[in-house]
Amino acid sequence: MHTVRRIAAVALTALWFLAAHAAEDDRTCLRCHNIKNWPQVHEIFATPHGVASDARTPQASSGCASCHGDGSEHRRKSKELPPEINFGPRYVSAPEVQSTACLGCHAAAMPHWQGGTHAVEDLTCTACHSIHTKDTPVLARASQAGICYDCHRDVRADVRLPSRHPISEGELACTDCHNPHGTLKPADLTAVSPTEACLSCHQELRGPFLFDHPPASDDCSTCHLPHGSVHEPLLIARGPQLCQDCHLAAFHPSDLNAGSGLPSGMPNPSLLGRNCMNCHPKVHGTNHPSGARLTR
Amino acid sequence: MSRLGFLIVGIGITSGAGAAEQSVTLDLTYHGEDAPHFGQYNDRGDDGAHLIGALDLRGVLPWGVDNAGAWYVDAKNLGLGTYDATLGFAQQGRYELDLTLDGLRQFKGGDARTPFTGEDSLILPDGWIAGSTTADMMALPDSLRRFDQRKNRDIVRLDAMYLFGPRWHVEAGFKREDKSGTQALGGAMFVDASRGSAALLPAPIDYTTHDFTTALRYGTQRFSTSVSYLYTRFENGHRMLAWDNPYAGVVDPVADYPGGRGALSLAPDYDRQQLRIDGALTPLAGLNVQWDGAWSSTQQDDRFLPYTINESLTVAVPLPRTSLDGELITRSTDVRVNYQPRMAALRKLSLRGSYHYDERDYDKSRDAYQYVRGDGADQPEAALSIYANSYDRQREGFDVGADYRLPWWRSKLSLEYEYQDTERRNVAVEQTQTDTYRAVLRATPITAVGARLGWSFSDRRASTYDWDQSYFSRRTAEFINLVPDDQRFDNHPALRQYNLANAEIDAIELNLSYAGLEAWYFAADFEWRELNYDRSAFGLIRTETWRYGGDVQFTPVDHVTAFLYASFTRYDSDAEGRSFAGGIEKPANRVVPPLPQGSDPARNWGVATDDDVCVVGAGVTWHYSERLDLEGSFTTVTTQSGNSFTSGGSPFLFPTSLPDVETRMAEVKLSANYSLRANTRLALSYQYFRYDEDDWALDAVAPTTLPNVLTLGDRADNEAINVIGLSVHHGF
Repeated sequence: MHTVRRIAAVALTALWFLAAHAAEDDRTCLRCHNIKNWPQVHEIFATPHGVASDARTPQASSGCASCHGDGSEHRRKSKELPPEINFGPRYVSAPEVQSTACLGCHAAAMPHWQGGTHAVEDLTCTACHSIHTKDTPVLARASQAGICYDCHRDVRADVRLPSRHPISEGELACTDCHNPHGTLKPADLTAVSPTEACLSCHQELRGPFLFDHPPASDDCSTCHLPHGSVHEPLLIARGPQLCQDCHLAAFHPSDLNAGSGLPSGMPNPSLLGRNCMNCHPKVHGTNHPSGARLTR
Repeated sequence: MSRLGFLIVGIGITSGAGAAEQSVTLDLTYHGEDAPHFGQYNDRGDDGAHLIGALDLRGVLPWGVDNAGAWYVDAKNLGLGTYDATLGFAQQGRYELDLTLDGLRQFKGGDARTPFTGEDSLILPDGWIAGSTTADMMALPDSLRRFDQRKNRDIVRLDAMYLFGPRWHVEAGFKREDKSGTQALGGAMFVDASRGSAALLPAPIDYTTHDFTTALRYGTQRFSTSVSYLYTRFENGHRMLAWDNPYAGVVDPVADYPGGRGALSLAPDYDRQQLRIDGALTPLAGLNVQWDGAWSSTQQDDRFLPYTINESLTVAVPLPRTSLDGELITRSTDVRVNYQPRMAALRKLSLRGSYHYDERDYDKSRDAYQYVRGDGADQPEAALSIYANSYDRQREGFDVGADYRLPWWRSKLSLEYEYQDTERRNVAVEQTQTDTYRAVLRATPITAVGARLGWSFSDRRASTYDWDQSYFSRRTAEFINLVPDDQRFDNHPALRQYNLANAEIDAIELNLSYAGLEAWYFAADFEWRELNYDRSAFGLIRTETWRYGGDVQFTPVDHVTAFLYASFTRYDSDAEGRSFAGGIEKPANRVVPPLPQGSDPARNWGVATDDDVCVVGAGVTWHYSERLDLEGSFTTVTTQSGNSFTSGGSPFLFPTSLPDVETRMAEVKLSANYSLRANTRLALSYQYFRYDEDDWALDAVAPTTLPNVLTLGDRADNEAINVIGLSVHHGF
């Protein structure tokens, strides 16, 4: 759901109304931070934070002071003393001070923020969110990844690889799998387990099957990469080598599948086409009673 | 092949209702040749014209409070199979209701061809001439037809949320997802590994998934919790894929063409329920407790297919049961405690500890299946039955960590220790224990410089590797007693499956950034990671990853921004094996002459692989004037996968390296956006996209290249297209 962005546009309609009915504290602030010289300050009235009818918003409570602190010192010496809590760019409070201000209202929506990856990395909310502007790219699926790539530059490269999830196409958002506000799961995944994160879209691979392939049942990352890979389909290595990393039985599973098996030599069925999966296609498990070797 | 294509017409209408912004956009695109890699996900890979629409409509609900109630329609890529559209109503702080349609098309190029027709029952054309090899199939060239390897995903979902005051809210959602299309699956007809043949088959994708979710959430600043329930029903429109055996003279004659058929099962239907409870509590200032617990049950009771589809084959012993009646239970519990001391002397310290438990408990009957080999011969004797085991696993662990703000360089040091214990059933290793140590230092040594240095080390210790576990657990006592003691194994005893093996993992990361020059921003990244399977003689021995990256952003003046980034990744791995045929030469632990193949080091082989990836991107945005914006970008991605083989010197091994697998992608985007009037905008764009690859698994592999595998003859992608776009936006 992308209510924030949608509501933001509608709330613009009521900008004049809200400004006129701004809280007393706001009007104090807005005497100096007027719309002519500080238009970016006033844009907050077009955001979800500026919706007065929502009792949870700053606009419905203490206005600017809800996030920036009381500001009495700042009012007294505005040139020398910034407000108690600042989010940059001119004045920047410590990360935990900024986060505390936001968590004052949003703690319930992100119960696992503390101790989470981004909190430990001292990431502030404003590193990703634009509080005073109605357009927040991180909340739009198509532009969200661009914000994440600012830090996760390795993923930016991975999603351009030949085999990949449709992330760079904007069809899969980072938040479809990860919760940037923290979870208790690896990689801040939203699903109850990494495997469940995959199976929530790849439902047909869940089984449970009559004949399991334990590594596949246990952890998809045993064989696959999550963002992108050189090898189809998101495999960590090509077959037959990937299969032979675990299967070295007598006869063909232990064969050396080298260049002599190319069409110019002795074409090798374990090497060409779909390699091992020419005959063993059911690598995620099968329900066929004759499928003990994952051929059925 | 390069071919000029055109994206000609884009008509945008932007209308205003009060201060609300609305727009309707219509685009017509055309390019003259298929570009499957370009269209891998965007459904614009086929040549021809595409009409594409987008909507962004919104307004104020007449019954909303203080104009904060809204309706909205967001849609993009209308007219394409890959699209999404949402219709919603919301009152901030009260409720939200969304109806979403979402489509995704995934296309795989390659011009695959097959002689089979049909959906889940594939047949060969009249007049088919079967043979013992693909070269003998004389009617094959005239029978081949093209089929698309395409997966269509269509989702309809309805999501609702309602707030009962500031603390309680409830959510409910329904989702239906349909997947359709065709994929390639290998189908083999065989008696054993030396008497068999296969064909790559067009297999139907016809899945429907229904999800129903509901959640109740309660939250205050100090305590929050939620309880959620998910029910999933998965249905497959096809239980099996059956096909005519295109071969003759390979398996039992009654399974030959005509009449002989093969069949494999497709994904079974199932029902799944999941209950999850999570939340957090801050009982004291500085102390925070978090939890996340989940339980799920997946039940699968699809009716089994018969041992063989070929009724002419003798099946004397029936299935031990007619359906699976299996239930997979998963349980997980996570708890994390964060503590920040209040004492002045310790205010720079924060501590955390967590506990994790998760379990996979698969309950199904352990029966022996006297299975028919590859639909190719009569049911074998009972001694050759195989038991269907269940794979279960329990994982438990904890970690403790501390962060301390050091008194210099505005730095912070994090130290962490993690322990994990995993117990498994029905695999070669019953228990693995892993110790992991991590340290991260973050610092700003001088103004505008950011640095982050991370180090970690993991040591995974495995219990005794039971290399004969699968042999003894899956086979009958009668069969085991027939086999000499020193041949009772499947995989070579020296093999260690890498997901279970002893391993040491080292990793170092370094990230640097500098923003000290007004117009410039620099960032550099380095990562190294090595997995050393130090007790493995055969199997994966080692992997190593090197990654370097750099970013530069340049803003010489307010209206110009440029960027350049590059990254290089190298992934190396080493694997070892031994080629051994079996039979009387199979014993692997006999070291006296005559040396059997299984214990002959001359039959060792090794393969070292290198995957290199280079990604480079550059771009510029130029706000040329109040009316004109210019943008340009360039991206190139090249990959190279090489390998080198070695052998222990046996004259029966030929360690010739394979050619490199290479891919090359280049993309250029240019656009100019011109405001004719305050409410009218004209945009012109050009895009060049090129992709090609060399892949020995596909190149020069015709359907008849392999004597005993009828392949698809599909090719590696090779494409280049040019796209020109024009769009007009008018607001009123």
